[in-house]
Amino acid sequence: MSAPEEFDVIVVGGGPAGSTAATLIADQGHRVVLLEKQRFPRYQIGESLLPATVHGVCRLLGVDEEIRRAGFTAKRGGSFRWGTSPDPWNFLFALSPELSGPTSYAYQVDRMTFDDILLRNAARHGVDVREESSALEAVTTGERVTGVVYTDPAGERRELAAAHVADASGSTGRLHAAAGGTRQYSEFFQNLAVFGYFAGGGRLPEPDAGNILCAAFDEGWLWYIPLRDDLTSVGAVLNRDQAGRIQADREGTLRESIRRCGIVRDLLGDAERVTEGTYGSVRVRRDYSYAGTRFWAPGITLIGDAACFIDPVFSTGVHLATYSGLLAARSINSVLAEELSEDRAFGEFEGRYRREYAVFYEFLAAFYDMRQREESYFWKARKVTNMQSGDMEAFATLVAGAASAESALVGADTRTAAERFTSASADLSHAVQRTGAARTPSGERMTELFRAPVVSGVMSEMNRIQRRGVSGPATAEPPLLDGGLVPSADGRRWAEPAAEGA
Amino acid sequence: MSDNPAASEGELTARRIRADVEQVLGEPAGALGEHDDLLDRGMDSIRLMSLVESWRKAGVETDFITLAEEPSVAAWTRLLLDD
Repeated sequence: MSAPEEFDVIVVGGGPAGSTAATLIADQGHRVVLLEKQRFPRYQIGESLLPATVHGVCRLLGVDEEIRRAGFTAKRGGSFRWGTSPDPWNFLFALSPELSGPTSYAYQVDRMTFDDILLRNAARHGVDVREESSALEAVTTGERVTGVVYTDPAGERRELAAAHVADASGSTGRLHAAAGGTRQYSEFFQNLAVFGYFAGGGRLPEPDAGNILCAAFDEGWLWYIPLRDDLTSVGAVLNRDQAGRIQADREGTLRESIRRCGIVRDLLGDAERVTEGTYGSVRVRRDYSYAGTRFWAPGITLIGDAACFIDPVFSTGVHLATYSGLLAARSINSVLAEELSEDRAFGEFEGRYRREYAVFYEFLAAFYDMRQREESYFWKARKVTNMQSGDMEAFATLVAGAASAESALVGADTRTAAERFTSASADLSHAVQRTGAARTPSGERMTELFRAPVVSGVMSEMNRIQRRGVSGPATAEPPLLDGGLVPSADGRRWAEPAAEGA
Repeated sequence: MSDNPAASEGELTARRIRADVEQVLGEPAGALGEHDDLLDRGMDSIRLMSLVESWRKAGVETDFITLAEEPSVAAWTRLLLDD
């Protein structure tokens, strides 16, 4: 192999996390190469977006207009047949019809198109995008990751060297171990998904027709995503012990799940499953809630699914990916500009990323705990009161990273965490009850939901990113973490917060 | 949308609250009645988020929902400045 080609930054993976990080780093004039093992456009699951991605990150990337013109289905929130009420209720992005705003909607996207737009945009911003290029391993020099070996489209092994590597290669990538941690799988969200696509299918009444619908039934829940007028994504989320049944008959398991879930069965009517082309197969994903114990090590940063993933019921996948891409870009840019030490810059990256993961973990645990048919195994196993202390410890480790594994805090925190989850769940259930069904005036107003602490926890960073996307840097933000950093005026680096009174 | 939402600095006073609101809404000074419903004057979620951030940075504990429930200068002055 000849001498390695040199860059400032190597990004591995061309999904939303990788494209976001690469674009925002190239924008600062750094030399960025991005390795993507497939040729885009390519299929991907994770179709429902949140406003922070659409109006915050996409705006920073300079791609918001192109996304708007792509004609994706607009969603004003999620609709849920979930919990005690037989009627669906809404989780809308706007507080009320009177107090909506320019960011009170997001999109359902076919990821082939969406991810392709982001990757082409990265190339336009100066990123050297190399498709059909599979990263094989990290190159280390002493304790530091200093490059990547990959195979090019001709099958040749090549080596790249850089000051930083960002691993955005997803759940199946090979590089994450180079950060020195291990992947901890959640026992609580021990779900798997089996999903396919239907031609047509009914829609919820306007203005909720573009919403994602998540509908619980005895053995799990179904997502129902109106991708286009003539295309609906339908997936069943089931307990892990259904793996054998799914393996034996994917299609049958999906169909039986739909049959068992009245609202989805009725909406689908006699829509036919798509059986040809990209959308033509029934696919499966398993073991999908996890977090790495380390999100970075000298020379390498993990972002998107390479770092962590959590259950899809609240459409968090692309949000966590683009958010972590933004955080990593700020840290890498700050270090390349020699404005911050690596410990300081990547400490902020990891702290914010874990906080975001943790608030969603807590929110989703509370969400799963809302009263379902408790005689069924799926829902009984997902009551927070049935959370084992091992789960709590795993949660503490997920949240705090490797640092907490050695700490005595973990054991002592188990009871606190249990109380926390129980009270978060009660708050959320009551808020949903008071909000009421979708087709009522109260169901149009999210006051009760947004006031629940577990909800305001998940909304706060997302709101800040949207606000920043729309009105720019004029408002200085306080640090999110104690003793932490704040975004720079251009949103692409970190800065020390201004001293008190300055 | 104003290019410069809630850019003022310093301690939060009744005067600053009014000035900040007028600024994000693009209203001339003194144009807003104490009890005008700010939603009718064009307040939206992003403008309100900007105000909440700016006022929290000035050291006042408040949140989006609390302010959204009573959207007037008079109510916000009371909510933000009274103990």
